[in-house]
Amino acid sequence: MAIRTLGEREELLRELARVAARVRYRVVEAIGRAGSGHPGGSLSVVDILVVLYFAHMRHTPTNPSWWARDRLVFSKGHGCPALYAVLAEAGYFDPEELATLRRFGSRLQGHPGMTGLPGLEVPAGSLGHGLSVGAGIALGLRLDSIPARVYVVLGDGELDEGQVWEAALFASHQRLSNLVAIVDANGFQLDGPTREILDTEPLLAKWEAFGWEGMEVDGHDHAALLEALEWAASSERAPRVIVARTVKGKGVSFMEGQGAWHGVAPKGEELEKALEELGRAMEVRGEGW
Amino acid sequence: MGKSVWLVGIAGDSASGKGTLARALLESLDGQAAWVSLDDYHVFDRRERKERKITPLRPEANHLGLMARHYRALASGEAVLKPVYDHSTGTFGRPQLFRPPRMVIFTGLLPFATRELEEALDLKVFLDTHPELKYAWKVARDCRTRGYTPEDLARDMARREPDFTAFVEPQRDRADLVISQLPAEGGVRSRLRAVPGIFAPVRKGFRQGGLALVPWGGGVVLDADPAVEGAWLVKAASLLEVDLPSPPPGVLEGSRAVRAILAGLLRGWLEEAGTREEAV
Repeated sequence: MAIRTLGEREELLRELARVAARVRYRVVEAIGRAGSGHPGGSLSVVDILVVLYFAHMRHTPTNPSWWARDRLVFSKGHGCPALYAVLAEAGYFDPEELATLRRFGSRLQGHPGMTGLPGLEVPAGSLGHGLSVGAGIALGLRLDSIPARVYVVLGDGELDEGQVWEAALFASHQRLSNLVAIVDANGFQLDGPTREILDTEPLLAKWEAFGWEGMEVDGHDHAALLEALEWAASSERAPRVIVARTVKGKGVSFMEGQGAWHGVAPKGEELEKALEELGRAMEVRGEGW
Repeated sequence: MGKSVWLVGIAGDSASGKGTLARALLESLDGQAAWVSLDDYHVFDRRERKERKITPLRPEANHLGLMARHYRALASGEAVLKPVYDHSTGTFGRPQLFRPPRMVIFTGLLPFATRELEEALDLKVFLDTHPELKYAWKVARDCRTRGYTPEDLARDMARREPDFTAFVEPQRDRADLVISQLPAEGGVRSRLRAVPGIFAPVRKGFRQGGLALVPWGGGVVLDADPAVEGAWLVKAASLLEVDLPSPPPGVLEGSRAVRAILAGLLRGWLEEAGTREEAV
């Protein structure tokens, strides 16, 4: 959206906050109903996806395979409930379908597969592949002179995979200025804090050493994310990376910063409490339910 | 919570005067309404339509399902991420978050082409514009602002004709109001037809630029300004039909009169809704 005045930008940010609150509710509701899933990393990536789809990317819910669309490669596949909820909110399919998460035969699997879900570009789940795929798409777009961008969303735990760094080298060598990587750096992976499992810090310096231009932002601050994305999309020489510092389980008090909520669905009273908190957050933001 | 947002759909062929009508309505509704062109819900961009040899009038060239979902969300006051089709380039732009004001006016080829769409709208208007006028208006607009040549347009319009008859025109029978525009000496002759009941919510007469619409005997009377002789009127018949020929002196010219009537109707709704809200 072209932002012309301060008023308009504030209005946009208010709307983004409303959308993010609704997405968080839908994510926890769907995981709760499924009885399994990954709430921690789904909730940490919500704001990144909301800003991408609702304020930054050029994409077409009416025609998901439009030739000139910006492409999003969601590499941290287990966080897909957030992607599904955002795609539904954005109009790719009816939000009611979110109730089928992880069911047999559903288009919404626990790790995204090519089930014919509109808006889903590539499958994911086995970590570390997304950047390679994204770099290939970006190179293809450049060879075809299509003025579209590729956004790859990675987890920080995922950066343990050597393939990510091979792809990073390839992208800078090819000067893929139409490629943007966003790291959802929530500090945890399945087995514990990323710093303890395999420390990849200082993260930004590593990407820069691999020939990328980068910046670090608060991954829950919509205004900061919007600015960072605008900066990343203005590259002319090199691929750019945004290291988004996030909180695992963001939005649910007892999940925030708790690695234990990486891959466990809330049940019973926990689920009720989580939904109550998220429901309240929607009301605060003026959204009736 | 009750009705929070009113939805109005205006259907009509390309260059039938939808935009002109919508702009006039917006102006007289003082910022309480927004206008959405349903061209934003095109599935294919101009290049893809050309490759596939498909006109934008066909249902499969428009995302009617997303339109219906958005109608329902907007009617309950929710914001939606609205797709954006850019006519100047014939491609899609970045979609925009759109929060509805108290009334949204949709214009397009197929705003109430399905029952799902029809049911979500509070008022359905069909612009029935004579082909001669459409062609003249289309040339005047598309060659100037959309990069077409007159030859393109002639070919285009011929190709569109069967699709217009098959998909767009049937909406006329489902409309609450049909506005006909016919070529007439020195301009346009307009004619308004309404199904009964449409003007019923209006309790008081209201005026706009020399015209008054007054409920009368279960129907409605379109009355010229009392200061002007020779009032036009409508009987409370099964159909309200108003013929607006060359205007009497001092009264609005036909198509402007129709706009004024419609604006008056919508303002009446908003005012009534306002009164109800205060009462609660």
